[in-house]
Amino acid sequence: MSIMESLFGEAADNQFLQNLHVLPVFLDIAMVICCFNLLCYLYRVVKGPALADRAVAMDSCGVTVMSLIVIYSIRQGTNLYMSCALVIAILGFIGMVGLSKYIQSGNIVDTGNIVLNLEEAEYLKDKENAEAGEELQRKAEEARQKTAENIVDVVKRQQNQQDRDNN
Amino acid sequence: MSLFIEIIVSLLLLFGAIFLLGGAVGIIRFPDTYCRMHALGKGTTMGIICFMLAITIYFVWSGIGLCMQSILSLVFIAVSAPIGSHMIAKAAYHYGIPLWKGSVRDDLKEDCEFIREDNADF
Repeated sequence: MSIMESLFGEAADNQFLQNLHVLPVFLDIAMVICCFNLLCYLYRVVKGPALADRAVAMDSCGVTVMSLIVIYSIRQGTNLYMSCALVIAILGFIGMVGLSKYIQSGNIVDTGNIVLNLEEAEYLKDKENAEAGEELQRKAEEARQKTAENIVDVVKRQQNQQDRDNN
Repeated sequence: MSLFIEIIVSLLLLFGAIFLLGGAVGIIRFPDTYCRMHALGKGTTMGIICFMLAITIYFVWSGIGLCMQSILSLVFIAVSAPIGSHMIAKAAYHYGIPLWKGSVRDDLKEDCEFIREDNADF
């Protein structure tokens, strides 16, 4: 009769575990150690100076909860709880990736100017230069047209003045 | 034979708990963010591998059958936990968390300087 068996009354239904003598003792030891680990991780979550400390400690809390699920499912004699362990693993990884992006750049989905590699950066630079060159050419053409119109106006005025003088 | 499998499962559980305990001691005792991540990345990965092996052997042995969820979570944790730890450490480095004053080597700093020199034009 182990100590935890009195706390979890459902374990008395597991007939296979009741015939064993070594495994329940180690189950108790592992459960006590895992609870101590949870306390250590929670200490780091509360105290940790950086956000990265808290993130890693919370991910490790998830892993320790997975190990507690393993112990509890051995004690109950069923494999229904293992899906919960798998879901906790997947959610922990996704949370780690999102938190790392958040720590590094301040937002998770970065929609700013991302320079992927040097070739793309050079291509973007050339494209900007080409657009700037097109704008300059357009302005120069407009200026030329305006000066040409002005010249035409001046010539017309001079002709008009010459006509008036002749008259 | 039954006692042999029982002892194997018990030792796997104990080893897993001890690896997790090593991670927990490391996260309390180590002086630096990167040292703590180092302890946790190794400890949690190895501990959960031991736990999942133990429960797989136990389910096959006790007649419940082969539990695919435990094998899947073993493979997934073994692949994803080091990747997540590396990503968090790299993000913390680029965020500017300082190294411990007793650290003797910083290779990533030189690489970052090279990258900055390459990207200085843009």
